[in-house]
Amino acid sequence: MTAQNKIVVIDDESQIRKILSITLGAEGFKVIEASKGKEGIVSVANNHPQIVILDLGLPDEDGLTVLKEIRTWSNVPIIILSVRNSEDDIVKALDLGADDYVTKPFNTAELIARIRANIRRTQQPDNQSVIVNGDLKIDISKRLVYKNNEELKVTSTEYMLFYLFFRNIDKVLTHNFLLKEIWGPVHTEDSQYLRVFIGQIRKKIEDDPAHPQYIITDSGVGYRMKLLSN
Amino acid sequence: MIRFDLLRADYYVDLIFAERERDMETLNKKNESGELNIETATKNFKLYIRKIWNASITKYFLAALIILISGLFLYLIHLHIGYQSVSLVFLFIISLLPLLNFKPGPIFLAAVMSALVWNFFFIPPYYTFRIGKVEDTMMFLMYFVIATVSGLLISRIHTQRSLINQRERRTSALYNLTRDLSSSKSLDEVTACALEHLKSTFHAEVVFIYADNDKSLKHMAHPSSTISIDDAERNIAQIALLSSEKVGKFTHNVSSISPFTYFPLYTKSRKYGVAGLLFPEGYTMDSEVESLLDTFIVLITAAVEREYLTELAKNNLMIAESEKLYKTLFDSISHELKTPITTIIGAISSLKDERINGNRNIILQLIDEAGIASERLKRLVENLLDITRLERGNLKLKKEWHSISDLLNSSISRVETENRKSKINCDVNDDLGMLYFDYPLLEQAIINILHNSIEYTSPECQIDVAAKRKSDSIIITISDNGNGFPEHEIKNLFTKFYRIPGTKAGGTGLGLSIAKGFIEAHGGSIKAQNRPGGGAEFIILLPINL
Repeated sequence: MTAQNKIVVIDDESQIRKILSITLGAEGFKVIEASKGKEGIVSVANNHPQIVILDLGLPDEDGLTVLKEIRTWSNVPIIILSVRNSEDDIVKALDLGADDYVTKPFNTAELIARIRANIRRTQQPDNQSVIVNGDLKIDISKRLVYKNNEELKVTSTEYMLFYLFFRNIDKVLTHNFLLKEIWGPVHTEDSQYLRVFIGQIRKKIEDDPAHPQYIITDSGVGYRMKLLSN
Repeated sequence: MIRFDLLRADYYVDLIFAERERDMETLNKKNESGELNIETATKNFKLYIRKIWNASITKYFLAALIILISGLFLYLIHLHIGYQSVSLVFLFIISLLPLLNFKPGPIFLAAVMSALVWNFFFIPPYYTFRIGKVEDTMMFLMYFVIATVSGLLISRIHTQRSLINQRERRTSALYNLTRDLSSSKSLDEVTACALEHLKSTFHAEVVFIYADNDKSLKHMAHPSSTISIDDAERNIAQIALLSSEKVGKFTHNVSSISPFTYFPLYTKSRKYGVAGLLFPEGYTMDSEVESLLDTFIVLITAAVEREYLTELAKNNLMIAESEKLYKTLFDSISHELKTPITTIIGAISSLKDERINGNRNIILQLIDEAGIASERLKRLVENLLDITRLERGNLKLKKEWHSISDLLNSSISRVETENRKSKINCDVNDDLGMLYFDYPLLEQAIINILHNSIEYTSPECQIDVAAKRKSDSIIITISDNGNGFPEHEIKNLFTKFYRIPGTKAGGTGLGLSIAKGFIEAHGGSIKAQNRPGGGAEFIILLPINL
């Protein structure tokens, strides 16, 4: 890793900033600390970090406000760090444009994995026409999905789901987001539709649909396609 | 509070007006539909007659005596003034009688007697009731009519006056009740006031039994009741509650079996209880008294309901407050617990990482951070335990003789390990001597205050600790040259779980309230203020005879 792997950490707890500084520093990141929302926004603007770690409970302004503010001018991946493991806050943050979330107390290894996944995703070109994950493959130009190189029969709605998951590997997609993308903004409350379709695509791709490997449920938040080695 | 009282006053004014209207209605009903209500009308008429004739026998005798004496006197002089003038004198005397407080009955008697006396002794021919001349017959008849009519007119004036008096008494009784009820501040006060007014206005013994719910009365009567009742009577009272109707004597319900009259206290929304009245022997219940009594009960019920609703509102407020406190407490504690735990888990999980566990320098840093986090956890747990001890109120002091300078120096050295840069100056004379106190508790109090100063000032700030003796107390000052407190927050500083809005993360708002609790347990006091030159200052006062 080079010194340009900058991370801005916005958290009011000095202890949390310190521990992140030490561990992420050891991983080769340059950590820039900010204890307040405003300070954090300025720091993101000045340093052009590769990723931002943002605490939701800040003393001067709410983390969600900071998130909204940054999102008006930057697409930098933002990972939400919060002691509130209440799903509502997380969903709100994700719907406002956060890329991922980790709840305190967290395991450093897990946090580092999330950071790397998010950086990797932003580095991938947007216009790939074929994306591979484990045994699965999607061909966007032909609108086809393969498992072990065999074509799967999928409906157009199922294809939309596959498309969204492959485009956002390792990123949690909220119920709201999926419903809005597939059925339009009117149906954002109808999460039972979603459950049905997720069940169907799991049957098609998972070896054991009861213990899914690809489409993981983040309870109360949404679904995530896990990155598996090819 | 003032607004509330005004509302209440309005309410009572409304009630009094309602009562007035009801009176008017009753009067109109009497005039318009006499035949509809023959029973009541007859009863009222009898009462009316009784009221008119209800004068003492002595008054009758006195009236008769006055007529006889004046008759005798007139007999002596009637030859000089003529017998016609005698009738005028009699009329004059009769018209004077009401001023001497004679009732209509005796006046009527005097009128009839004087007519007869005049006829017998003065109108010729004398000593017979026969009248000789036609004009004398006319005179006698006219006299008789005038005397009788004036007697009746006077009696009417008397009735009117007594009615007015009665109404006035009634209005003033209602006014007094209303005034006293509205100034009562609790259910007990309302009850006591209601009992007093019922007793003094109706001369009855009164018992109040409140209800647990709409269906059953409490087992015990209200302790202010002027008389107690047995279980059988309580069951009758229960009927009044259930039926929401008057029960017992003077009513249509089970009137024969109970000497009490029970009035249910109820509104549309709820039943509150029953008032039982035991009237004295021979008490007569006329419609006037009955309607006054009903109005009393309405007013009392309104006051009881008011107190009940106030109590309910107070309870709801308390529940809301405690829920809010619980949420704040929960948020704050969970944040305070999770932050050090996150640090510890983060540090430990990092140690497994190959990139990290090769670097001795980083390992040491991680261990330091985990250590600081553990200290913070420990302090949190200690604070929670301390506040629990204080809350339970069974704080037992283990007092021994210790030196004040020891206390301050050891407290400072304990916070210095957790503190990075800011410097703590200690200016304590060794000659302060020994004090008899619980060392760990006061040490915790001082540490909490020092910790507060360290946490909320910049690391470069100077913290000063000083102690001196002043008459019979030791004064400990802990001051800093930081930003001080916002002036309007000083009063809240020692409130449990209170944190000044906008302060930095970390902390439960317990430290200072624990310090205050421990110092006060030693009979001391603590106050906070801003220093004139800037910065905060805590002043602790410990009496020497702890």
